Amino acid sequence: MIVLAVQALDISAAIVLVTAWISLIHRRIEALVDTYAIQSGALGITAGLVAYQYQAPDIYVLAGLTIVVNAIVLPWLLRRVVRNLGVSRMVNMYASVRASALAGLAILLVSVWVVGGITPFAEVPSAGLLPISVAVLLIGFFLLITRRKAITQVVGLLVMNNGIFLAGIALTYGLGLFVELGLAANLLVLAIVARIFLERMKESFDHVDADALRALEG
Amino acid sequence: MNLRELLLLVSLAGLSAATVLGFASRRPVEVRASFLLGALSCAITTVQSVLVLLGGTLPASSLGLPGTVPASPVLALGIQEDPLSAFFLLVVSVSGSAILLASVGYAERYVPQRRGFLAGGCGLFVLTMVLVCTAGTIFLFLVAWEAMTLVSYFLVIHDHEDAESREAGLVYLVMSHAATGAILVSFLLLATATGSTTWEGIAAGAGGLPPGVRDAVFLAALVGFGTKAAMVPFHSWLPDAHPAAPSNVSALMSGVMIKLGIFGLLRVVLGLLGGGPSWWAYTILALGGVSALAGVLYAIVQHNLKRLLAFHSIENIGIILLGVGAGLLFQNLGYPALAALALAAALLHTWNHALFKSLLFLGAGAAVGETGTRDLERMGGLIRRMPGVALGFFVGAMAISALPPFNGFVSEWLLFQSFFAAFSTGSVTAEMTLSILAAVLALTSGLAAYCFVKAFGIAFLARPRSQQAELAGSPPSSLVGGMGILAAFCLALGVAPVLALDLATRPLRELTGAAVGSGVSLSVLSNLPNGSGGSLPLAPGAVALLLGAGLLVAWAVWRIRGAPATVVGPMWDCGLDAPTPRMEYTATGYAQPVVRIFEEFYRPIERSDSAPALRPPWIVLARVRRYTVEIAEPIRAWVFPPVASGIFGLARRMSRLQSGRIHAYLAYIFVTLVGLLLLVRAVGGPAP
Repeated sequence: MIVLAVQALDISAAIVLVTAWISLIHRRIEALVDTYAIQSGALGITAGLVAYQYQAPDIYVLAGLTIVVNAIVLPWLLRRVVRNLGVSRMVNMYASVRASALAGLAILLVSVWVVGGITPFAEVPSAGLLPISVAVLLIGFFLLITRRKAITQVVGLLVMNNGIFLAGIALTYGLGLFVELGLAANLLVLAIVARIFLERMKESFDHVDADALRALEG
Repeated sequence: MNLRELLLLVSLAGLSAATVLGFASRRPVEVRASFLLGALSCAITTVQSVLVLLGGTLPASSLGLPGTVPASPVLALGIQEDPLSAFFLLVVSVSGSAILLASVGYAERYVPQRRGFLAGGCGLFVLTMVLVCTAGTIFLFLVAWEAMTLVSYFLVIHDHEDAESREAGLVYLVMSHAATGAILVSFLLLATATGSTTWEGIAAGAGGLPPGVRDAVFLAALVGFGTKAAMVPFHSWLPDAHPAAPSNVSALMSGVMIKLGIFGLLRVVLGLLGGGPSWWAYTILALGGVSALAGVLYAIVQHNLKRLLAFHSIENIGIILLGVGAGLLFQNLGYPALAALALAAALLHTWNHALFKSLLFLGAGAAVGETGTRDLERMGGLIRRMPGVALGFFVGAMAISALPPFNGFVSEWLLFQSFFAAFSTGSVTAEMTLSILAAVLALTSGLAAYCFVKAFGIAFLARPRSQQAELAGSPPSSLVGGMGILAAFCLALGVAPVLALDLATRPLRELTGAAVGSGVSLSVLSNLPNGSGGSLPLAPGAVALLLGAGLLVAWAVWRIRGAPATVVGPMWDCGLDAPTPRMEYTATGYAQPVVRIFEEFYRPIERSDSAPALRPPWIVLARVRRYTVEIAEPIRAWVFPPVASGIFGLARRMSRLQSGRIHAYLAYIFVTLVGLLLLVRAVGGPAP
């Protein structure tokens, strides 16, 4: 049973990684959001499997919370924002899809190489998750940098957060329930604030392109 | 709390009160009171510093700033006064007292506006200098140092309506900040390497530092404090800043503040590091020699009286640095007594320069204030209009030219003695270097005398060269009084140097480890290894005897021959009808021989215009000729523009980083993060 769980853990973690990479190549915002939802779902399952492996009840709570908040509520909110804004649903980017995809691979290589060198972590049983989490984190960061629209940047931030969460359960079997609860609450607030902000931005400037904020430059 | 602590606190409080009073003043009487209170506080500080010099260190523990409890070593905000501090406190306070006294009249007569600001600023300026001297931790030192720089900046731009003042102030501010950066580097290196922020703690730990760190600390301190002291090639703020400031501020800056650069250098190099390898000494000697010679050479060709004095400050800093370098060299060679001699000469010259340069700047202030021009060519004949100022300026000129019986002679003589004593060390390099530098020093002193013949002669003698000079009145009595105090000190230290030398050798017992007994004075010389010192000691008794005998003979001659009759007659006019001031010797003309001799150095740009004075057909008969010489300063012309444009170019390129685009900032973070991760991996990661 445990062996099966370990294999399932590998698969679900792989899904988290692959979805992160796929989010780099989407051209439509809805597809990006869907990918994020799948990733969060896979992340919740991963957390559940870790909880099963270590028999840690509080991680079950986290897993459930991740599935509910990150995989269902946040994507729903984001889709509503996209629909209500009525702007072009294309992902405008600074780096082309091909460049982004290659950058994603480079990030993965860097993460594996870097984390492999950090010896103290090798003793943790689920340390295999660590390179993946760093890669997800950096891919989220990359999204944040190369996507022009504010809403896609919000998705990038959420992907980063998934990476951090994965690192948390990989190393400490959960960052501690209360920290994680706080994080989840933060995310919700972030999403709501982002939504309001984006709508105001749309009203005021008639676009949601973060690049246009340069007009504020002195 | 003993008397010494009480006096220090009283004087600090007095200076603070003078500052507040000055800034808050509404009426002239309050401005006057502020200056007087500052002068009085300085006088108290003088007494206090002498007491400390005679009585020993005031430890940091006994005198925390009132109301502060040192919470951690970093925040331990303590005042400490060891003999080195006390000596520089003496330097600051004597000149400070006289200058603040003179400022009463100076401000009232010559400063048309913002007198209250000037008074408060001067009080604060002196206060920060006192704090720089007495800071016991690097923290307090840096705060006081930076405050000193800022206050002096605002005083330099006191006439901020004048674009020249603003520009001079900006150059000063920028260079001072760069210098403070260098000082910060040296202090932080020391603090991190020794784990302490107090002088004592650092000094205790600095001995065991690796040579590389010590060298870095030395170089950073040399650049930082050298800039404040206006050592060539970090001097270029000074010739602009001094003329731009009001004259009493120039006196404070040139007479007092730049000495604190020397203080800092001594503090770090000798007090904290305890000396170093010989190349430190040779570096300081080389920079000192260049400063001395370049300073005086540039001074000769200046026709702006205050600028001329400013360049002499560079020269004198060079002379002081020669003493410091020689001291370090002797210490390195293992001759602590000789080191003490050279350093005593340096310290004494520091004090002397503080006295006579303040005196000269106050005199220049009176001359400039009364004539309304800084141009020597437009002065002249001032000795009739302000005899007191002329006498004071003459004393200062004699002293700075190292002529007896004034104080400049004593310190330069001591310096020469220490240089010649190098022949008893047996180190050929030291012998060669110091004998060459002795020649440089001799040339410098000679040129300084030449320059002051010009400065005094053109400004004060002959007939007025312009209407402004003709209309000059008599300066206020407090200004003359302040000059009188300084002149009296110049004379006193010249005829009784042993007293001053005793004070100057006190700090050296700790710094050099020399067996300098109390009241040593010049007896170190008789301890020279080869006994050559036998003829050297300057016996004050003999000097007094000789002076007395000379006066007696003069008096006898005067008695026997009777007072010489004064004969008034017409001036020899070369057969021309009425000699005009245009026929007088000019400053330009007087400087010409030196410009010719050192043509390679000056690279003068000469211009000779001639224009017909009369219309044709008499054009053949007379032409108005005008000859001007322009001297470009090579360091200013060739070194600073590239440096400045480099810095500006870099700043422009840096500002391109600030795109204002959120993606760009995120990208910086991303690149940094990935770079750091790769670095961690490459280095090997944190230790398990």
